[in-house]
Amino acid sequence: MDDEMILDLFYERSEQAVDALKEKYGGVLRSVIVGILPDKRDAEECISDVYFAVWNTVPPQRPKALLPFLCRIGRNAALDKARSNSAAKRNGRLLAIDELAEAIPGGDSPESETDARELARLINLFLSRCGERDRILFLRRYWYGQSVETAARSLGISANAACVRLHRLREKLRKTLKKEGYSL
Amino acid sequence: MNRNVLIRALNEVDEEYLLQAAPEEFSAGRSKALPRRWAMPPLAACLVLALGISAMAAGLFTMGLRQGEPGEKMGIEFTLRPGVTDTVEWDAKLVMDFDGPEECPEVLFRPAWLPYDTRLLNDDGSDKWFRYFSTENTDLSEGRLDTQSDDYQGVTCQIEVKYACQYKDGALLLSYSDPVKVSEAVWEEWPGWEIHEIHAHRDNPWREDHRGEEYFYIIMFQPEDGIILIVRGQSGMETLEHIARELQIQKTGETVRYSPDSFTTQFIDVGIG
Repeated sequence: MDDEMILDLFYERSEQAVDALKEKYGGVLRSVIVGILPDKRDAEECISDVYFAVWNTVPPQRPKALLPFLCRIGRNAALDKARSNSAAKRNGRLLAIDELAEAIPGGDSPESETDARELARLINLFLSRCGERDRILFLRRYWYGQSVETAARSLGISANAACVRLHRLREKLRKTLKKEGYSL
Repeated sequence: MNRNVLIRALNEVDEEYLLQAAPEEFSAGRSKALPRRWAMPPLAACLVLALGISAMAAGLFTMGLRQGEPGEKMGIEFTLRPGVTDTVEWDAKLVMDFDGPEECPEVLFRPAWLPYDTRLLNDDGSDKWFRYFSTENTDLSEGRLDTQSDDYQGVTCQIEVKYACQYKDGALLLSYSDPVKVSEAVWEEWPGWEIHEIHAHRDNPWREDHRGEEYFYIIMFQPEDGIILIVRGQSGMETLEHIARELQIQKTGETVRYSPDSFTTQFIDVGIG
C-alpha cells in the first residue's frame, strides 16, 4: 500500500490505518527505537506511544513522506525516554550523538529555538554539500544511530574507513558552522 | 555543543536526505540503496548526476563527486599578460572536490596497452613516461604518438595526471558544451584506486544525420597519494577501461605542492584537455 493510501485511511479514521502503517514501516520504526532503547519493554511501550501519536497527529497533519515522519516521532519519543534512563549513556545512539556534539565545540550554552533552527539550517547546508555516500554515512550514524560497523558494512567499506570518513565529516561540519558564522 | 540543541536540529534534517539514507532493511518496498551502477534517463541540457564518492581506503585524500548546486559558479582565473588577470565563470555541473594534505608525490605514467598498435610507443627503444598523453596529434600533448597510425583516426584517447592537492580550494569540473546528457555513471574499486566511469553524450546539430557524440571518462583516484589519472575519449568505455587498467605508474621522487596561485579549478573535457 502506498503512503497516500495509508494517509487516506488515517483521514478516514479507519483502524486499518495503524495496521497498514505497521506492516509497511513497523520494521523501520522498531529498528530506530531499539537502537536507542535496548530494553525490550521500554521499546515496545515507546512503539505503541508512537502509533498513538501518529493517530493523534494525522489528521490534521498530512506528511509528505511517511517514513521520515514516523521515524522522527519515534526517534524523539525514544530519546525522551532514554534521557530519563540512567543507562542511556551506555547505549550506542546517545553515544553517537555525543560523538557528534563533542566534535562541535562551545556548546554548553542553554538551548534555544533560535540555536536549533539555525543549526538545523546549517546542518542541511552541510549535507547538501556532501557527496551522496558521505551524506548517507553521516545520517546512518548520527540520525539512524547505526553503529560504525553496521553503517560501514551497509556501504561496503571497512569500519576503519568509515571512522576516517566520519572524522572528516565532523570536521567539515565544524568548518561549515564556523564559516557560516554559527557561534561555536 | 549542547546535545539537546543538536538533537532538535537533527530533527529538521531534510526528509529527502533521510529517505536517501534510510538503511536498506528500513526501506520496505524500496530498491537497495546505492547500487554500484546508476542508470539515469537522459535529460536534455542538464546534468543529472549527484554522486558522492568517499575514499574507500583509509587514505589521506578524499574525493567527492557531486552535481553543482543551482546557481553555483566555478571561476577560472587566468593571466592575460603579466600583472593582468581575468576570470571566466562557468556553471558548476559535475564537480569533483578534493580534500587532504597540501602535497602529493609526483608521478609519471605510460600506457602499457593501446588499441591497434602499442609498438608505436616503444619502437625507438626509449623509456617514455608521460604527464599527458594523447592518441591525437595535438600541440597540447607532450606525450603523443610520434608516428600517427591511421588506425587511430577517430579513436581518441587522452590520459592526464592531476593531483588532489592542486584542487584544495577549487575543483575539477566535468563540463562540455550544452546540451549535454550524462547517461550513466559507475563507481567501483580497483586495488588501491577509486574508479568513476562516466558515460555522456551530446547532440550534434551540425551533423546531417543528427547523431550525437559519445564521451567516456574514467576518473582514477588514489586516496593514498592523492593522484588523479583521467582517461577520456570517444573510443568506448571498454577500450578506455583496458587502457586504464594497464597504465603503469612511477614516482619521480619530486612532490607537487598546492599553490594558491595556480589554477585551482580545471575542466575535464574531451577535446579541451
